[in-house]
Amino acid sequence: MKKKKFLVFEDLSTSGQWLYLYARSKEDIERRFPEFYLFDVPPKRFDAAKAQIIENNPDIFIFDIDNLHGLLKDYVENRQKDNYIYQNPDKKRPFVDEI
Amino acid sequence: MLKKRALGTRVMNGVLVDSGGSLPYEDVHPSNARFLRVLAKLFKIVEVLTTSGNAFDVQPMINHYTDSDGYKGIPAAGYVAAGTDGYAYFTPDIYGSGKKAKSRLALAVKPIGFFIFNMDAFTSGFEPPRKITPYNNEPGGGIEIRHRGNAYSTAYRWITVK
Repeated sequence: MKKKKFLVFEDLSTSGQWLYLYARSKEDIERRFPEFYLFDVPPKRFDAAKAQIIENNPDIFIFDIDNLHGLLKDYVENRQKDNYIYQNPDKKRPFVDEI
Repeated sequence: MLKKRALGTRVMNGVLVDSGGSLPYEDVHPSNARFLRVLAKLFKIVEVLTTSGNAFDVQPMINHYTDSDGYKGIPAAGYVAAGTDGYAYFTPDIYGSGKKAKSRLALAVKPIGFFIFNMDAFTSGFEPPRKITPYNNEPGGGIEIRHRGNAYSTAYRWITVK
């Protein structure tokens, strides 16, 4: 199955980060990154300028979940286990789009 | 009294001085004059510290703690993205360890350091400082300054904590 590009938001606790993840399905992402926020339709907060920033910095903001590299690989291998929300997905805050 | 004026002199602290007519205010009310001089200096210091772009270039700085994703992502993006609740979080607090920062700032993840920002570089959006309440299974107790929406500014510098 060909992979598709998904827009996710990573909660950094004091701020956040938009990422593109390539995966076969939404479920693949939800299983591996339950702490991330996955969007079928880009929210209002994510505009064309932010999409351009991602495209301009693929090493930092674009990942294939089956072949992770860089920061996200490190995150999964070392830090995901220390993430309180990853350990307690029921504590995940709702995403507020209207600021 | 008349004799004193004719001579033009008076004795102060055991020393003969020239009065030069009416006595200076400091001579008549020395304690009051000293107090007013100190008060004037204090007002000057307050004015210097609170005026943006002042002679001493004193700027209000705030810190944004983050992990390695933010360390790479924030400079690349050029702004601090608002979190899930629509706010980007800053603090005037400085902590020497990520563990302490996580505890006092009630964070879900342990930060590896913090960016220092000049508050004057942001156009608007800050809310008044407030004490951090327990959250993310952490006690809190630090001070947070929330910025409504994405915070657009370039960091002054990065400080790594242990």
